[in-house]
Formats: sequence, structure tokens, C-alpha cells
Amino acid sequence: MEHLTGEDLARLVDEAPDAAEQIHLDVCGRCAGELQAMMEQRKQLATLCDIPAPDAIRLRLERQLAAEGLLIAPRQPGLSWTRAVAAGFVLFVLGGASGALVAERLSPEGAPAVAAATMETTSSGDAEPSAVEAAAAEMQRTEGAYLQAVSRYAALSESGEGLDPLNRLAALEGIMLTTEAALRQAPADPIINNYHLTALGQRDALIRELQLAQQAQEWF
Amino acid sequence: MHPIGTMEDDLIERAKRGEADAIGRLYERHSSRIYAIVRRLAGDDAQAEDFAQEAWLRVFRALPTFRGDSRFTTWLHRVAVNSALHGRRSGQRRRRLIDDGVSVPESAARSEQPLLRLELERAIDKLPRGMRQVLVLHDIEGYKHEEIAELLGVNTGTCKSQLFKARAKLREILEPQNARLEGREVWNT
Repeated sequence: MEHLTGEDLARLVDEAPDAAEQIHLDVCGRCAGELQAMMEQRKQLATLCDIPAPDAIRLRLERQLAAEGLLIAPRQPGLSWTRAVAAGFVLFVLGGASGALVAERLSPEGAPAVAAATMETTSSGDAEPSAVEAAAAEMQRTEGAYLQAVSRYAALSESGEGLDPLNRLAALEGIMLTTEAALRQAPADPIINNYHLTALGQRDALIRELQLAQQAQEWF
Repeated sequence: MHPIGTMEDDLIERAKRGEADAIGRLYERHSSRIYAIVRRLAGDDAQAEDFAQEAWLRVFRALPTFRGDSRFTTWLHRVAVNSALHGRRSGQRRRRLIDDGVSVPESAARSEQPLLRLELERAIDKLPRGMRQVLVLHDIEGYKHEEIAELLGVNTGTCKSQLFKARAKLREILEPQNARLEGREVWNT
């Protein structure tokens, strides 16, 4: 008795056997078993998983697309609203810090809070009015810019626009650089410390979010 | 909430304008599927990386002309298959080799039956190129013989013959002990 060949059995995975093949399969356990195994193999092939692409492909692709001008970089950080928030905040903190420094210099006991310090020094009458008034005016102006930027941030957040995590991360880094610089000048200032710790906490939380979302949302 | 199709359409429109995040998201959505196709057709990692990159480049270059007459995934799939079948082979880059010299896709170890699938992936890599291409396209990707014949520029009879040879060879590779002990009797008598 001749057994069916491997190619015959492979064909019978898709096609019905002819009469002779059927008779053989009915009596030959080996060929029937091989056919069963080949059908199982066919099933296994159909259920093979996708294969994660190596990161190298994405990096090479990104470079090539950029070189061909097919990739527009994400919004320029300098133009983004988050940068505007950061800039407003920076001006606010710097303005506040300068006010605090001026107040500290002019008031013997010093003042922990920027606004209180400014008010105190303004009312003391010992300070040079022009310097104190200039610091207060600058602080008011930057506070206004900061509040405006925060309102814009809230509006954008509610509308779901512009929630670019990388821009936000860049803005938070910018804020932290500024608060660090301000803290070097006024290490004990509770307001600046508060801003710094808030920005630090926000930045760390955002980094954790980005790490969690990395698989689902890669950014070129 | 957007339906998936609408979200994809939106990504495609933005990717046509070259928006980096849309391009990145489209890539992430389909990269594993596309890499799986080209990896199995290529038979090794280095060629697969070349083919995958070539496929994606073709897609993003041609994206502005994509009108949505066919589904994006269908088009992408077809471009990937064409790249792997007819793409340039660099042959210069280092292959990642595992034990017996056969590179193995990393996904095998993560699937439900890791050992079995690992063996299956290794066995596919060992098939001669023509057999491998037909087997991958037919038994894994679900192409019809007529479609494969057109892609490869052969007739359907040749395609079928290659498929049956590939299945038999694969079985032989997967059952080395069985093949050694019973091969002559089973296959040749």
C-alpha cells in the first residue's frame, strides 16, 4: 500500500480527497494522522501574532521623512500657548522675586510674601518711591499676563485643544528653571517655594503619564 | 467619542499635511501588523527592517494621493507586501541570529503558546524563499491563489504547487524526529 505524499496531504488540507485517496485515508491511520497534523499546522499559522516593529525602523523613517520635507515638526515651542503661560509665569515670578528682594533690602525684618513686602515697603516711606513703584507696577503687569495665560490654559483645556504633552512638559521645565533661579535669590520665600513644588509635582506626574502612554502614543 | 474609522480618517487627513503626531499615530497603529507581514516574507530581521521602512516611506510619500477608495489598511497591507516581495535587498546589515542561526521574531515568546509558535516562526524562516512567500501570503495572510499568482508573476498552478511543497516542508522541519524515523516511508513510498 502506497502512502500519500506530503504534498498530497498538504493539498488535502484545502481540497476534498478523490475516491482513491479517501479509501486510503479510511484505512491508513498514519496518513490520516499526518493529514490531521497538517490541518492543525494550518490552523496554527492562521493565528500567528503580529510582531512589534523594532524602534530602529521608526527612527530611520522619521529621519528620512524629515529629510524629504514630508514631516512637519510639532508646533514651535516659542509660539505655543503653553510657552505663553510659562513666559507669563516667569515674568510674574521674576517680578515678585525682585519686589521681595527690594522689600527685603528696604525693610529691616524682611517680608516673606511678595505682596505684603511690596505693600509694607511702599507704606514705610523709607524706600525710594521710584524703585518700589516700578517693582510693584511690574509685578501687577506680569500678574495680569500670568492670569490671562492661565485663563487661556483653562479655556483650551476645556475645549480639548492644544493638550500637547510635550509642550506642556517644556513649559513646566521652563517654570522650574525660573523658580530655581528665583529660589537662589530668595530661598525661604514660601510663595516661590510653592510655585516650584507645584511645577515639580506637575512635571513628575506628566512624565509618569507619558511613560504609561508611550506604547499607545508615540510622538515623532 | 469618534468612531474608529472617523478617527483614522482624521489621522490620514492630518498625515497628508505632514503633521508629525498624526504620522506617528498612524505608524503606531499599524506598525506591528506591517512588520509581521514583511518579517515573515523576508525571513530575517535585517531585510525585514529594510522592507518595513521602504513600505512606510512609500505610504507616506503617496499619502497625499490616497483618496480613500479602498480602506487605508488594505492599501497599506498591499504596499507592504509589494515592498517585501519586490523591494531592494541590502544584505549589508547585521542579522540578529539566535542559536542555530535563524533569527526569530520577538513576538513568539509573548504569544499564548510561546514554544510552539517560536518553533513555527523558526520553521517558516527555514523555508526556501519562494515557498515561504506563498505560504505566508496564503496560510497566514489569507490571500487567494489568484492574488498571489498575480503578485509573484506566476500561474495559479505554480502557486498551489509551491504552497503544498511549503506545507509539507514545514511539517518536515517541525517534526525532525518523525521525519528521520519515518520520512522515507511516509513521504516516498
